[in-house]
Amino acid sequence: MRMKKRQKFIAAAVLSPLLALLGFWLYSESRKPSSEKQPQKTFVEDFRLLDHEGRVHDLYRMADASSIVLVSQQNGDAGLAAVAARLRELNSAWSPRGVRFLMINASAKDSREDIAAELERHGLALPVLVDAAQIVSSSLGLETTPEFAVIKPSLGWGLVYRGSLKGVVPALENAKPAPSMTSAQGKPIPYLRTDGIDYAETIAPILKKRCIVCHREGLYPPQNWRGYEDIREWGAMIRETVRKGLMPPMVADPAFGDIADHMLITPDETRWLISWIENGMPRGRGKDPLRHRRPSEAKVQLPTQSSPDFTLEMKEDIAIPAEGFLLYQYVKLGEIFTKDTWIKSLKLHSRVYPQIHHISLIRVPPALLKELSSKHGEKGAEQAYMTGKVSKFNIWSPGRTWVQYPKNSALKVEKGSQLVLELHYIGSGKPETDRIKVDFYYPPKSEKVRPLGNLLMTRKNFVVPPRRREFIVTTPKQTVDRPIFITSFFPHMHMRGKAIKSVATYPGGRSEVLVSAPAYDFNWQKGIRMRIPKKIPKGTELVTYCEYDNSGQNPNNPDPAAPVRWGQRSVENEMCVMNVIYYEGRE
Amino acid sequence: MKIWLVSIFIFSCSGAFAESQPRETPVADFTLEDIDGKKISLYGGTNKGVALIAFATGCPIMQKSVPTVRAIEQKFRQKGVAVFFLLVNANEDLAALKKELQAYEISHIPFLKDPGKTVASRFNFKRTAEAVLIDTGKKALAYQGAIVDRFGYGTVKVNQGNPFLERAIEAMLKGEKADPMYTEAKGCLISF
Repeated sequence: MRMKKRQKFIAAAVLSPLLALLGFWLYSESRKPSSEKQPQKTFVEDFRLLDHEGRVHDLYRMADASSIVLVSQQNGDAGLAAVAARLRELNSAWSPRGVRFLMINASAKDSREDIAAELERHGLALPVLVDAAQIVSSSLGLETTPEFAVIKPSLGWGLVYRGSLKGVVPALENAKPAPSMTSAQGKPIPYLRTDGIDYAETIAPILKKRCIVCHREGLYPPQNWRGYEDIREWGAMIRETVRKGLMPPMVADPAFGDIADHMLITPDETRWLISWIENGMPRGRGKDPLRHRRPSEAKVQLPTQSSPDFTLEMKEDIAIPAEGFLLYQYVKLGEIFTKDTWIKSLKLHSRVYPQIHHISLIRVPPALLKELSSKHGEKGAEQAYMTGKVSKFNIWSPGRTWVQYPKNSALKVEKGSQLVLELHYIGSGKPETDRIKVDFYYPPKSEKVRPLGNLLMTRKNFVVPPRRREFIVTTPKQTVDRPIFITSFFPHMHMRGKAIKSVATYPGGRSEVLVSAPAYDFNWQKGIRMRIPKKIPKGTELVTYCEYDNSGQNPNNPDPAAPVRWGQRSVENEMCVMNVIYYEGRE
Repeated sequence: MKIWLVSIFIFSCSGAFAESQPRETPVADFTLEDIDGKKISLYGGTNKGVALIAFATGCPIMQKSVPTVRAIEQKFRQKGVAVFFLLVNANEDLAALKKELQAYEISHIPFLKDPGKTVASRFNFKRTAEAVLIDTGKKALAYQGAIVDRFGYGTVKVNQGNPFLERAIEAMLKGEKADPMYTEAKGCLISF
């Protein structure tokens, strides 16, 4: 059968689009990534940055935003004046539609105060993320200020636009990725050099100083960093945890208070480390400092090398389950003290340091001990904390196995008292046991010591509403009735706790943030020590602000639908406590 | 002519159908040595399925997931599903590893060496504690993702979490599709 011309035409008309469709389908199949999880090219990885007011911003905790607009900024940029009014309009028009506007400063030299002043000059009230390490701005491809980046969480954290102001609204309106990256005219961001970073000279010393203090034999996994080859294997994970601000753990914002042992890595170190990893982790030359570590460097020693004045040990092993937790166990430590005893420092021995969530020391005074022993016999002392009549002193800090109280201060244990440990462990995946032993040291005879006490800033009887992203509880104002020297702070909230800070208002009216933990994490029970005890004059008012995130954006939140009442259970309840350790000063 | 047109049409439609119903991802066989030097092939056993888990010592999420893996291995051993660990750290200290396996009571589970990370790349493994489940009958991927979603970075859910891998194995044994078939695994990033 021969086709007529007309039939041929119809066949061609029908077939061509079909064949084109088939071709396109085959092509698109061949272009599909091997896994559905494959990120798109313009995917933005998670990051954590502090803003100019010291608040923490985690990108992936903004998953409920329809879009995130990041605006690059640097002080003294005239370009910001040209866009400030329009930026304010955009913010008020689009914020109700779930768009979050933030600015980002990668100048590496503008201080938080200067940024605040600059914002005020331009009439802007947006958080400015301080990207002093420049790693977030550079990974977004930001080149100038002001430049706009639009990120859509719903499109796999896609960077859908980067460029000048005029492309922002089309990017916000467009539901699909429109990667129209344009180069914005503006003031260049002064990026610092990131090439030629040497492993032996720069990277290994950073790792030793900032990471291996904790990631070492007997402490936290990974512990097996024996040299460059191991670092190469862990490089991707090191980069991710540093970028996400998970490591080193941010215990307190170093901008407030004179903190002794914050664990932070500097912006320069961060930039060098991340760029070295991103540049393929070149080995370079020179002896590998990690391979040639001296054994003594792997041990954290007490400042004093002398043998302990006395040692107390738990009578029995305690079993730690492979999975889950061992919560709040109270165990006696040693016998009843037969004389007044002063403790200057102590060293904690555990078989399972990485599994310790926290360990506190509780002094049970003679009268209470007598009362409890008559009711509970041998177990009397272990009931002390439940009475609410005793205070506790945290004696374990992640990564540090010893405690030394500041000059002129010590912990006094009254004659007739007994010590109790509060223990809390997290299972490691295998069943383990522990038997805590503590070495105690007296103060040197030459040192005149004052007893350490504690002051609790706390509020009870509050309810964190379900799904609330930000809920702040303020403790009642407490007036200090005699001068004190604060040696350390110990914040305590539970799973919904997000940030906590304590503020002093001095008799003259001046206010000061004494300490701020902007990324509070229940998993890191760490005291915040002052480098030099902080003097608080008589008449100072102290107050603590506890911030909670009961939304689904809080990765620790076990149940965003639940209203959370005050109470001691760490899952169902919340607490707001700042335990202040101090000694009294003179008038 | 008509038949020709209709057949093209059906062929195109089958393409469109395949687009909406994702096809099974075939998995080719591989052979690797375990840490004792024994050669093990993916399809070498008579199993119905193999769960392959990316592993490196020193990853806390992997460590915390071990009891779950051990329970899965025990539960499904008799049902024809094997568990293999894939070593994704090319510089793993084997002596230390063997000690750890004893402590975690998983010495009986094969640990496969993947020196060039070729098998890890083939499955597009991103992190340790990430699992793939291979239906050895169909020689196809049945699940990829988390073992269980209980453990995060420094966090542990109080409840047991979703046992994704276990549910996927149960679905596979019943001849059903895992739901979900892909999940996001938390664990330590693998450097390629």
